[in-house]
Amino acid sequence: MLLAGVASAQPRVSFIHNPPAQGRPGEPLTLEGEVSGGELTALSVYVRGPSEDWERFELELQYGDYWRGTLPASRMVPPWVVYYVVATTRAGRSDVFGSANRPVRVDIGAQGTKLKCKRVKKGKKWVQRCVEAGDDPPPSVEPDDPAPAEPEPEPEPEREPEPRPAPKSEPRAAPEREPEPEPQPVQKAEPGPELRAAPPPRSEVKAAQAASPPASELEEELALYGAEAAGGVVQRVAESAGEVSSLAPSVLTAAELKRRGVRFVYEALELVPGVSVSRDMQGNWRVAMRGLRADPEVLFTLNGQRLNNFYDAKALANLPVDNLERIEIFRGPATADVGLGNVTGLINLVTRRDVGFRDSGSGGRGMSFDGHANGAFVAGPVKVFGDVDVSSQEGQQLTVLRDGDTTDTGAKRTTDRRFLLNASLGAELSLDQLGTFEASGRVLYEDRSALLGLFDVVGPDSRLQWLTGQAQLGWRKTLDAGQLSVRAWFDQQTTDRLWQQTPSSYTDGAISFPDGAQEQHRFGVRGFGVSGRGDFKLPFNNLLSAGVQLEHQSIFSAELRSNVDTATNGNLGALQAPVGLRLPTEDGAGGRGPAADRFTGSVFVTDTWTPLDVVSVHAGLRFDLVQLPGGVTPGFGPRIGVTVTPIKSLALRANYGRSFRAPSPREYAEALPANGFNAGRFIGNLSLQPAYLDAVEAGAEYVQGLGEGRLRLRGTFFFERMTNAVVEIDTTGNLTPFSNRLLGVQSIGLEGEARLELTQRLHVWLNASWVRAEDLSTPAQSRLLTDVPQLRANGGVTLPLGPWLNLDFVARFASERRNNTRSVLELIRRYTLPGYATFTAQLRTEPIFDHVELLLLGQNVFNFEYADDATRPDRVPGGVPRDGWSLFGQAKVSF
Amino acid sequence: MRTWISLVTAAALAGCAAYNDQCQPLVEDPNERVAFVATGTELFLDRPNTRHANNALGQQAADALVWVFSGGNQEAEFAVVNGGGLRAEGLCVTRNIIGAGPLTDGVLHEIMLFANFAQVIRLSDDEVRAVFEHSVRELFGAAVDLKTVSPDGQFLQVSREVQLTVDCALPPGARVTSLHLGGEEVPSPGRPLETRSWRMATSDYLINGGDGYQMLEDAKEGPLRSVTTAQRFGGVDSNITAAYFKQSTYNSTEAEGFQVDPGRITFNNCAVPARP
Repeated sequence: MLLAGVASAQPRVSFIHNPPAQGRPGEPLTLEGEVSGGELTALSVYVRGPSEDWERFELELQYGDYWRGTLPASRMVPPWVVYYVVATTRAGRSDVFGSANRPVRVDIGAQGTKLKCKRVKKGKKWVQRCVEAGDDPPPSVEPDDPAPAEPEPEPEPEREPEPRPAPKSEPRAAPEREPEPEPQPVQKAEPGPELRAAPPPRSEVKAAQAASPPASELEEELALYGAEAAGGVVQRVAESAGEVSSLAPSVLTAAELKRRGVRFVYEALELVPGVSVSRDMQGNWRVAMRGLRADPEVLFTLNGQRLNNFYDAKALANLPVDNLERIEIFRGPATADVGLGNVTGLINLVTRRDVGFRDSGSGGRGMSFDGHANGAFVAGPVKVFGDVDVSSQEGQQLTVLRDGDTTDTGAKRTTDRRFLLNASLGAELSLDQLGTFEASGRVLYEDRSALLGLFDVVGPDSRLQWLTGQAQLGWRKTLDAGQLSVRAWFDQQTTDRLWQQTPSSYTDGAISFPDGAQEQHRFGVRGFGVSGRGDFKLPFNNLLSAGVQLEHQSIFSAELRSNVDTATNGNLGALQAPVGLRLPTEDGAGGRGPAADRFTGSVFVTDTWTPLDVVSVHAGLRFDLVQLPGGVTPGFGPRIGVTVTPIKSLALRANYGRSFRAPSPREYAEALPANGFNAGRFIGNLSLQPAYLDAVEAGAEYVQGLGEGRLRLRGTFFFERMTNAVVEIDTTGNLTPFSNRLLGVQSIGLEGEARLELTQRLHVWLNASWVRAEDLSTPAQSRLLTDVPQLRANGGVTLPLGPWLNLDFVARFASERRNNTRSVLELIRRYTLPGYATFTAQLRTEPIFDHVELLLLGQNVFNFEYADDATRPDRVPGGVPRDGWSLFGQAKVSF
Repeated sequence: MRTWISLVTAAALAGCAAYNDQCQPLVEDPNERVAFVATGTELFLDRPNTRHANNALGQQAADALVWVFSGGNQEAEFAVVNGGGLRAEGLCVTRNIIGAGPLTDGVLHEIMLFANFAQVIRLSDDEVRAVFEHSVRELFGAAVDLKTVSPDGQFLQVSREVQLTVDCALPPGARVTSLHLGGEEVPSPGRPLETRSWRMATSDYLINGGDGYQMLEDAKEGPLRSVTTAQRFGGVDSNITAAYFKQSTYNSTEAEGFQVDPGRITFNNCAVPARP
């Protein structure tokens, strides 16, 4: 799965930063700003004092594109320090604020204090020594060699750093969204307010030294007085619009996830504009992107490798967030290098691989106990990293007033028992000449109950098991004019789902099931692939990326058993294969089913061109050949985007993209026994046609500094149309095949975000989205798709409570949902799910002794009762209940 | 607190969300007239009158199924529609009686609520008889007050080609005393399928064994059955009936509107439904 995201084809990076005017001796200095125009693996600041070597520190991503770090107090020694900022992307490194030759200067002295400076000779060099006015003048180092009488150089007027011939359209790295094992290793310091100097690789030291040859006296003076920080609230170092992406993903960093009081991935996704999350009767989490909901249309990746199961496209993605560095959410088609499955959205989970060790444990309501650990260490050219999550819960047992079992009219309860194990280990070897090699593997195992049951009856003893194994091998090498990379991957998923279609001791007239009516599904799927790509810097501000990918996926085992007689609905006794049922792996003539295997060959090419400083154009094309039951089918995915930055801090974007959507094997070939318990479920349809999504998006983003703080605003308008949409609409009440909506479905809407950060610990954020989705194959008065909230709003505030405590408060709002009306049965099986509002409150400590953090989390603190839509709302009128109030405590330790 | 939150949320989010009209059927123009109920007649849609007597709309729906297959290579010789497929309850309004006058497409689609596909199947003499025996199996005798019972939806309304006589005093399974299709008697015992087969049009719901028509489900996969789905009007029975009405004289004037044909099924010793 080739997944080199936006950054790999994006223009160069810039760092919007307001340099501090002055620093105080012995006090740490915070450096912060916003990155635009690329996907970074690291953002480093090089600092030195007079006549010192450069020392490197790392800035840390806080949220979105916002980076921050603090120079330690030990670094803040009068008279001054100078610094410049370097961004590391997949394609290489580039100066994004200042440079070794023209760094930014920060005088160090008490605020308002005048400094007296004098040039003195130290050895063969003349250096400047400063003291605060009123102190003794600094001594000469060489009393026998007094400083020549030189006039004080005139301080240059404040000005912005001149636009420099920055590297043109450097190939970008798209680490976090790539399916590749890992982007360049992020040599970050431990998270925390204070940066620690990361020992730069030897090659980087050499590069830094090469970039800053020993300065002559004159050069050093010019560097000192020329690197004045310009005035202004916000400045753009490189004014070209080529730095700003035409896509606008949402990124939730580890720090942001912590502030939002979420424990699992889907809780975090609920707080993203344009994304709606719900659970179904079986307990599966479902994501709707911009009003459209279907598992095969949202691509989930973990460190760039697909998580979606080949058969039914469900993803074991409800992972704890503790080991995640970030979650990236793209709405609509991402760039052309993103693989198949990205139709309405892409969600990439990126795990932490920063050096150090971190672990945490938590417990709470519902007999919930979690443990998490992640860490990495570097030994020479080798880096080893790993993470592990163990999570178990009994869950809340919520009342279900009525279900499809009319023989039992008593109240029933949900069962939300779950055990999850997620473990990974990997290593990276960096060789100067040969490039970087990486290998990693991961195991995911889940054992849970069905939340309610398989279809419309509460079956409390269902057992659903899911085992996933992933492995990746990768190589990449940075060239002078770009980068090459090759990746190979493998994944295998097995599911064993034993459903209780009725509870035990079920009877209905002459029919009796002491163990309950049962149905067992066992599937095994496997996939492997290889990809290669190159990113090249071309003349005239062009960045070209091209790649090829080959992949094979297959269902290697399939089994379905039932104890229900399809003719009489009676009890067969033991589970057995229904007579005459054709599994997806069978063609009925002894051969492989046409949907059981899928070979995909893909090529992509993208180019980003910056013809003017304020305009950047991105174009891409993806071509896929996909093996489908109807034959080898081509898919085209053009992309085009334009970014304009008419003024500082304002970026205007527009883009168009098309995604190819192949039906899943389940949609093609799902087979179910035609017994009375399955009436109304969906079966495969080999006649399905592929679908296309065309998406248009336009938006604006504005960043404004407010003293120490900053305000960020973002707005987006979108329009999406899916041609030949694959849908499940019950038209008969019997086993109904998946079908295409020939006239398609479409959605239109708005998304807005605002974020105000007043201090490092005082934040306010708000986002809202509105969507209007329609099924165009339905008469006009019945066209609206209303099973997903049309209006969503989320907001939060983080407040410091003294030096050690923080209070986070998060609210979620959603509008009313009602049944769709695409068929008569949908029309008469009505439901109304009222709008809901839930609130989260969290108390957490600042790091104690730099290593320990404590947290107390309350979710849905007002115990708001709300539910999601059920498969048969006429039989389960109360819907699928969502959790009530919860309380968790957590302790974290990091080294 | 929850109530307050609900009210505030609803107030804040109201006005920006839109929803479908749940009382409108799934037709482009619900108010379009498709036919007239004939002057001086009424259309009864309660269960006794759709499941225990000749029903005007059920008969027209069956005639429409014959019409949609005409001219093709699988013409139907007769058609049946299950009485349970005619619904009085509608989407939001229950209609037990529709008086003389226009019948709109919207109301028609509320009555014929289940959008089943129209199919034709070849049956033998015995299978045809078995179908009609099953149809009248659960009819009530003359002494029963139909207002106190709920007749089964398996009872079949028939097209004009059918002349059926039933006697509710006879035991179930032997109630059909006379059966003619297109003027030709269906003998009992019947002839082999290869000798004489009957092409019957009905809904896929029945052909798949709905309402207990197991003999149809058993037959459909067999040789010579030639199960074919209607291609016109999406193959959907309610759409076919609307189209049939619109091109017929029933849509011309109220005087020429449709009404029940009492001669298609003759009931002996059977309960008679009253006016709803």
